[in-house]
Amino acid sequence: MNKRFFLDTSAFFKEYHDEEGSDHLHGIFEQAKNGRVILCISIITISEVLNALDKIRKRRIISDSECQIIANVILSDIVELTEQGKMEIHEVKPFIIRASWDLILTNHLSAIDAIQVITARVSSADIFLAADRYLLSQMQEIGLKTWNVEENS
Amino acid sequence: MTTVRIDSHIQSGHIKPTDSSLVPVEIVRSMIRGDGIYCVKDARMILNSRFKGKFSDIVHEIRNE
Repeated sequence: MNKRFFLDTSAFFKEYHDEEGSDHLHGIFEQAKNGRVILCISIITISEVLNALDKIRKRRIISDSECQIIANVILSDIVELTEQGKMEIHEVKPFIIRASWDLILTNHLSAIDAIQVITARVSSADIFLAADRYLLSQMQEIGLKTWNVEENS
Repeated sequence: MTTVRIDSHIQSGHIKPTDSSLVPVEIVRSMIRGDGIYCVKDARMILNSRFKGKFSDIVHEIRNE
């Protein structure tokens, strides 16, 4: 059975922009394309990808047309991988939101961090990938295997 | 609606993988504009030439602002 990797947005973006940890993500996406692993993301990740692109557009780092091109490419990649059964996009159901409230108050996570943690838990992922030390430490606390993609595996 | 604390359910494994549902891909496709002539290499080339920071920092900023 293929390993299932849950990608936090902080890890997901490294496939499309070369920065610290991108080599790991390029390797993981390659493995997914070859049918060796399954990538899991939350639908919230798509919102955050668009949010991040809009942020750098507002700062005039990229133009309107470049923002549209990049968004289209990333969304098309997600559609293609999902249709091929190599990626799963997980819903954020009310029970996930409810469970996240406890994590916000007890583990001091931000609202989205907490939703990502619970979604990863219910997605049946074998390992959670992110580039945020505090988030990863909280994942470990609820018993999930983690990988900080900005460090070596 | 459940009235029990969900965190204890998580700790005890009562929230199960089968509780998860997948998003229909049509939802994502509906957001794609244009003719799709660009590929991942093109997106990387634009981002790498324009943006010198880390997206993990932008994501952190979005979640904590």
